[in-house]
Amino acid sequence: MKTLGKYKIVLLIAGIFLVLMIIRTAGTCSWKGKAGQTGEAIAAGTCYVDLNKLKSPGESSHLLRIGNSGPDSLLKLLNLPETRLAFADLKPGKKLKELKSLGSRMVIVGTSREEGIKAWVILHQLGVKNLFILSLPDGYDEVLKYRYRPDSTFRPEPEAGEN
Amino acid sequence: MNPRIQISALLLALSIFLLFFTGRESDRFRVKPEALSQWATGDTSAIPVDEVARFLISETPGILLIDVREEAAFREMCLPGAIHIPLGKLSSQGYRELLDDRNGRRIFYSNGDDLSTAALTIAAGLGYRHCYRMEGGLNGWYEKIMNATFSGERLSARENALLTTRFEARRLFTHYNSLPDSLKAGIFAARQLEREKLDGGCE
Repeated sequence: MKTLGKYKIVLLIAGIFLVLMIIRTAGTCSWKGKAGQTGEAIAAGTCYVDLNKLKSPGESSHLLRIGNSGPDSLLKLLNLPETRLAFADLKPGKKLKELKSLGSRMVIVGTSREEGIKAWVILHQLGVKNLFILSLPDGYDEVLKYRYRPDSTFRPEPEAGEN
Repeated sequence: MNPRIQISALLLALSIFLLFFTGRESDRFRVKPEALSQWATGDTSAIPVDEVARFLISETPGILLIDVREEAAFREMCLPGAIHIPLGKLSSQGYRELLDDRNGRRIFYSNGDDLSTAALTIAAGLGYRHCYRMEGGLNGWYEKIMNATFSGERLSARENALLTTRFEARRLFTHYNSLPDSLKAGIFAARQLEREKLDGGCE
């Protein structure tokens, strides 16, 4: 005890550092996933689920409607259970606990593609598993619809002083 | 045990603890979930294709275009001056300084809106401000810039300015992508020279 008393300043500083680090990380420790993995999943397209897959019997699905997305006629026919979520609900709390306890495949339906993607990234980072975005009938958005034609005759201007 | 050894062991343990937390943070979101949800609700980060074209033509300082498609697609064709960061690498420490620059605008783009929206959301989660995305992606670029045509009899001054920008952006895009990689950087110098000639600044 006497020895520790000698080093109380060092211990105090170390203690302050520890508390500061805990405070700093406490606010963001709700994030369970890794940003890199989330990016890779979207780039690989593994986060999408086709409407036909929802129709097929097997794994049960649960729709997550983001924002004010109205009932789509095709989805209405499937008669799947659904939960309405606002972006404000995408944070640790009761709703998130409910989602994590669902156990079935969760399919995000947004008012727009962008809303669906944003919600997927946030929920995936919050640790929600078995989560997908509904692939719309108009196809995968990331296919380039045009073909690039290079101009093989083009050469840049020579710089001043060059021949 | 010697008290000095005890204190050293304590400090070592603390260092390892700090290192552990720093390492964990690098690939994890840094903003609070509430803040990210709020950002997602009121997100106004989509920049129209025409505005991006205008940035390119005027060579607006501080604008950095970031292609988040696969590398092969980027090598085949990209927006002039764009750099490539794969979506899975956005959280890498190596890009932190580049993405965290508060003095400019970072504009993500892909073929459509999906990858660029994902990149923007990840960037927002990592705490990078001043990040945007090009609305419609390269499909939108082709529709508005590459396929721009004039049909009609009269052209208002506004339409004229818009079409001029589109045609110039199309020319720049085609020329840039027709060059080998080694010459691509020189195209902006060549454009500068061309402007000087038009202004009568060169002989």
